[in-house]
Amino acid sequence: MKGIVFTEFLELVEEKFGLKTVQEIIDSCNLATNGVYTAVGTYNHKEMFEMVEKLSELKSIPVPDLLTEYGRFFFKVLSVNYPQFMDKNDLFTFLNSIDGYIHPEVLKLYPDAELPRFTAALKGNDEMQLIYESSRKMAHFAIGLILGASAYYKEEMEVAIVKEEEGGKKVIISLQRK
Amino acid sequence: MEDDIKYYKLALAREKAARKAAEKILEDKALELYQANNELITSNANLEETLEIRTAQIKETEKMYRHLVESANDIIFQTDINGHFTFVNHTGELITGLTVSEIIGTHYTAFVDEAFHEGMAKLYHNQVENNIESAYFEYKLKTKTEEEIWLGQNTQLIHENNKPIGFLAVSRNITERVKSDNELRRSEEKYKKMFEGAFDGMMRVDVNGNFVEWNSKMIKMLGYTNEELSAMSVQQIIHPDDAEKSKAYFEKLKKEGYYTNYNGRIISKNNRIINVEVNSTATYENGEISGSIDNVRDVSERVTIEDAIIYSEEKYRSILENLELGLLEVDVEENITKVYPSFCAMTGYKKEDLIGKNHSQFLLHPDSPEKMEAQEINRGESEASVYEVQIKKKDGSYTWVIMSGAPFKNRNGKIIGAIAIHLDISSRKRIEQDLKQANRLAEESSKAKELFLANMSHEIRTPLNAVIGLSGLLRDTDLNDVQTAFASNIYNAGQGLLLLVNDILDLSKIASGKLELNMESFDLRQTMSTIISSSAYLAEEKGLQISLNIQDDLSDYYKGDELKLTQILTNLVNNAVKFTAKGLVEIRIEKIADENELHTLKFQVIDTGKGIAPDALLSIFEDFNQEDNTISKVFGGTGLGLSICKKLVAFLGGDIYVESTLGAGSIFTVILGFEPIQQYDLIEESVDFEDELNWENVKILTVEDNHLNQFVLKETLKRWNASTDIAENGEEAIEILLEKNYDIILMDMQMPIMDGFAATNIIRRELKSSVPIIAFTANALSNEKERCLAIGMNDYISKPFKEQELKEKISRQLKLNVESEKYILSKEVGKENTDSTIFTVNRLFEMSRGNSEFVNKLLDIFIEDGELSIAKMRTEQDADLLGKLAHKIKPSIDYLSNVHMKDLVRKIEQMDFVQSPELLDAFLEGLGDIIAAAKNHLKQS
Repeated sequence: MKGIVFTEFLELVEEKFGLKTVQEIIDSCNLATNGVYTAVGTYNHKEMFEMVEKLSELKSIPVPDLLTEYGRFFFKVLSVNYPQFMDKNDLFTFLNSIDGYIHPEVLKLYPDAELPRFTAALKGNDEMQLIYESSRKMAHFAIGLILGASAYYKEEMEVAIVKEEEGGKKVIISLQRK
Repeated sequence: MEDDIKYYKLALAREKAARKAAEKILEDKALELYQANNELITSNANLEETLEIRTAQIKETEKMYRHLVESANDIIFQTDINGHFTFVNHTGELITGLTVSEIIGTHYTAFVDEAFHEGMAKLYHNQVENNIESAYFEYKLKTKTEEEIWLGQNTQLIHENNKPIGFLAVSRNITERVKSDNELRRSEEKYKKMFEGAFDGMMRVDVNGNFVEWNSKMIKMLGYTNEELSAMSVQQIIHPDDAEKSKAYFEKLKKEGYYTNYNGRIISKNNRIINVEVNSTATYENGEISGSIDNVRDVSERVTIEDAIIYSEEKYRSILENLELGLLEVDVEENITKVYPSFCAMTGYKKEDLIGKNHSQFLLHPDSPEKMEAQEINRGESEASVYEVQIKKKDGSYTWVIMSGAPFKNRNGKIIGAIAIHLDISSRKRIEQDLKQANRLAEESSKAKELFLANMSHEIRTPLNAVIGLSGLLRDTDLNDVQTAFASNIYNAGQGLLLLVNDILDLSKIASGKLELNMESFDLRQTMSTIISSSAYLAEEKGLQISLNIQDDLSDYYKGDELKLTQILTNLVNNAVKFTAKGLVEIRIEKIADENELHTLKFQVIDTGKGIAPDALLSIFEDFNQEDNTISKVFGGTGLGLSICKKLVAFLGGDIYVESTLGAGSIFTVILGFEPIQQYDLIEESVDFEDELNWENVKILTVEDNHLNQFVLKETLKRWNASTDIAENGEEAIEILLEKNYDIILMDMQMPIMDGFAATNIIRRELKSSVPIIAFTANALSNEKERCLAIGMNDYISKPFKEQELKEKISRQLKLNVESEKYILSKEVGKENTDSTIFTVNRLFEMSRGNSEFVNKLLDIFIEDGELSIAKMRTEQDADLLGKLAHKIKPSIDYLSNVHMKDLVRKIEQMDFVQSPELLDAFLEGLGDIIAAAKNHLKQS
């Protein structure tokens, strides 16, 4: 997993809960890195999950909610760092371009990146269905990213999980314009 | 606070560690990049070097190949997958005559003979489709000259990325080989054809005489099977007596290479000896004689065919000669090319008179060219055609012939001329003309006969009219007994003579098929009573009784030809009375069948007379036949009566026969069909003759040139208290009619100056008079009545007339007249005062056939209309409208009132009241009276 995910996560925790919570998480997790992450590095994704679970435990916030919230935050980071990918007219067009354009481009920059599959299906002007497929089971992070995008394009959406398969490896997400 | 510092320190430490980690990563990446760059530079240099070496190698190889390709004797070329040339070598230029740059881009079909396009396209396609690496085929090039160039081509598929992208082909000029192949094949085929298709037997034998090859004719001739023959030698079929001779010929063959016209005998399988003529040629192999090819002709067969042809020709020649057909041959221009003796015999020409002459121009009658033209066209279509034409003979006279041109063709099917065949039909034509002449004469004679009969009837009837009429009148004058007897005798003799004339006329009518069917409704009893009354006088004299028995189930009224029935039965009854001295004559009528609204009636006339001898019974219905010659002396008559009866019955589709016992009497039976009808069908046609006419008031004009007839008529009319004016002819009649009106005209048809037809025509067309005219004629020709009626006459009386008939016919015409009241003395009217009967319902009853309900209904309507009319007419001032009101009520007046009122209503209608106003008052008063009487009538009923 790319280092930026770790660094931004810890930034968010620091921002929301303070350095103490950051330290607590690092201390209580068995991390090979001892909590030292750099955006240009690549780290084991298990460390990320461990930290999220720890935060959940500490703050009594469910993991999905944390992931969603982190996704929303992370989209802002992405939109500032990679504005060329946001150059789309509307939300649905953007979402539709992830699997076919954005992810292939990302792979050119980071050949070792492991990216989920995103299959988008437009259902009329106001509805879209997305199929998330990844062994990481991070659909909620994806939902957070979608919500971040929704805010970015100023299109309010009701986002919901329609169906989960294979223990979260395949999740069908629906978007309905509010 | 301490905690915070602690955490910041820890965080800072992490950040430092992270920075170092990041720097390390970047350092590593930079080194990686440097190394990668170095490797790239090195490999690039290596690549360039290799490329150079390879390029040089390829160039060398290519040069070598190119040299090979260009120096090859074969055409080497490449095409793309669609067959367009992408490369061709120099040889290609030489063979096609085009430069390489001209060939490149062209499609291969531009060089291939069209006959091979389809086949080659299939081959190429197949090669691509089934991925066939290499294929060979041969084809002909398309060339601008007659020269044929054949190529044998080896084609390979060219691939790129496993996909076929074109063809590489090597083509070799194989023209010489193909030509020699074809030559060989042709010569083989020719030999095969000649051998197998020969008219004669063909065989090939080896030096020992063994059969090597033979054709089917040979098999047919010899009768051996192929298998048998293949194991045989020539020696086995040669007649033993010819063995030496044949050996000698074979030696000759060996020495000279051939022999001709060997005549010998061979023996077939079934031991038939065949005369043959053999022609042989030696065959060679490697310079050595290997055998011979022999043509074996069956000469015996030829002899038979020749005989048959001669026989056939002989046969047809004799047939043609016997038919006496004149034959000529002409070319396509119809110029005579050959003359057969038969034609000379027919026409008297010599051969040299005709050769080279044009057939149509020289021989045909000038009236026939269009026929020949038609024939010429037909000949073009190769059809034989037949005409009847006249041809000119040597002596200049013409003779009728049937001519036929049968075209004949040369071997190529082109018409080169025709055989003109002439059959002399002059005698047939003569007979034909004789027949026409005879037929015309017969027709003329028939017409003359008819004219004679018509004239005779006129000539005889005119004086007869006088004899009968005057003797009848004379008989009724005040005479002594002897004079009365003389007058009666004259009268009876006249009647007899009239019967005779009528019989002859009837017979001629029947003979000429001019009988007509007159369908009329009649009262059977009335008709029978008329028939009986005609014989009553004679019967009474002889003291015979004539009884009539009509079966109950017969209808009273029938429709049919009453006239002919009357004629038939009158004759039979007359005969019965004539031949019966004592006893009785009975007429029996019964119905023997009743189907499809037709009653088949059996009329029997039974007498107790002298009877007829059995041998005479058969011929009794023949013309001019009486039982024996004495009859005419004793009983009179012409012998035509029964013959006429039989013919009339046959005409009506019935049957007549006689049974008789000599001395006991005869029964004549007539069977005829009539359609039964109801009484009312008869009413319209009947006129009530019981009404007596007031003859003094009838104004009659008689138009008649014969003074005797004038006298008879005047006297007859005088007896009825009638009188007549006389016109001598039509012209005089017209003059009189311009001066005076008549109620009826009796018009003779044949008169000098102007005849009855012309006069009637003027009366109707120019005088526009509708006065009834009765034709009065002695001419009894069949269509006379139709002619009279057609020209506008009302009826027809044949002279000499019967007084009763004349009276009835005149009465009928007068009563049909609208204004007849003035001379009709109806029985009713006769009894009562005319003026008092202003109202009568009799006509209404008659019209409604006695339906009093209907009559009352009509009277109701009349009363209502009448009262309304009276009210209107009293106040109406407009004369025109008054006239119209009168017109409207006129039909009612005609039905209900008397002649006075009828006259009056017409005067009002014509607006006579303008001059005589009292007429209107009289009319309205009368109308009032009629209405009152009608009301009274309704009250009583």
